[in-house]
Amino acid sequence: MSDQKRFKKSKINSDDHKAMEIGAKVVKGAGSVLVASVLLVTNKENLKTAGKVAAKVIKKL
Amino acid sequence: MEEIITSNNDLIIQNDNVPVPAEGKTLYITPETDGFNYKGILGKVVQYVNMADIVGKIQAGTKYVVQIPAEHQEAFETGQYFMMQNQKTGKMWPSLMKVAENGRNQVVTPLPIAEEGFFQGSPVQDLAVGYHNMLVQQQITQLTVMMEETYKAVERIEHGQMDDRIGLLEAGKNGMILAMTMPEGEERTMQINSSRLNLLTAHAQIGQTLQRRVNEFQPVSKHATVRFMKELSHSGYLARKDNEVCEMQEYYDLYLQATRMIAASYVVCGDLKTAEKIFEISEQTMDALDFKKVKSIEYSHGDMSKMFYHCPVEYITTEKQVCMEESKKYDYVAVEVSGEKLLEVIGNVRSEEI
Repeated sequence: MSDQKRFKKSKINSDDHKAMEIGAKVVKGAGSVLVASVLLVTNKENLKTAGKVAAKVIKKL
Repeated sequence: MEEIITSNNDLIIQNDNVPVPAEGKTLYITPETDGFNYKGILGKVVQYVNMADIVGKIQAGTKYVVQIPAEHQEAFETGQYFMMQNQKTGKMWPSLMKVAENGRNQVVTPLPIAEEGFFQGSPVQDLAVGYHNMLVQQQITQLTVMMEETYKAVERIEHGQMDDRIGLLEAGKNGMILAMTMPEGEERTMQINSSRLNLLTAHAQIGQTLQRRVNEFQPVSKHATVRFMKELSHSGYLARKDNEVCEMQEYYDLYLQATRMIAASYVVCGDLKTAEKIFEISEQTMDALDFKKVKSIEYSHGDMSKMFYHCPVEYITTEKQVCMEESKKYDYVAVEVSGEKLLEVIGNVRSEEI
């Protein structure tokens, strides 16, 4: 009977896709930084525009 | 326990005139084997066969095996004719074998049964039957321990949502443990029957759960980019897929153990045909499952050739064969003995006779 297949539980090695998981996290992190930066830049522009508009209004007064 | 069960496949014919014993399942007893009164058994065996004529064939310093059929065949009823016939064919006949240097057995001579032995029956019959019963009970006890470990794992998976299924399994298992403590008889059979009902219901439910999980499994893409995008959009996606397959494995394990337990419950009642049938039902259930989607888990892994879904039917078939082999009663009891010891025992028996 020793040469026959008897069932034994197998472990699934989670390290096999560790690289992909890390990669996805890095991309996600980098993406977040990028989006935040973009928002920041966009916000600065908005601030500048708002500042300019306010300055014009004050001058007219 | 398994190491003392052998078959006669390793026999070598010494010459054409010496009949080889028929092949069969053998309970092999050595002086070191635990749980047997070695001296007592050897004494009985020597009294059973007529050793007087073969003393000259026994040499000190050589190891021998005296092999006795566990049961007289029905043909025994034919008397003298049977005796002559079997001495020629070696079929189910006591025999003396020498353990060769390569560890294999060489037949020295068939052993004639002493006249008294014919009427009293084989002295090792009760021993073989008792030992066989003990082995079956031990297997059931081992199975209950294994089942308990597995269903605890399944319980963790279910988070207590499917208590009825586990409850039935536990009730069946406990019922079997109780039955094993009872003396053989009608009450024990009734206890086994009622426990088996619980086991059968739980077995079917576990099979259905496994089937549902297999069918509902969303396959993993073979394209790394797609897998990456899924992992990116749903953190832990690949780990969750691994978990799903691990859980299916737990269900498969539990299903297999429940099958073995139900079969053992029939074996202990002497119903080998139904025991075999329950394995066949499980084989059919597994054969009907399509594990193609589950196998897609391998896209994100290396070697997974030993996973259950590769041979779900074959594993059950193996257990069926093991169960059927272990359920078979012993054909022979073989006692290993040194030449010196054998001569000593024969001498004692002869002096007692004088």
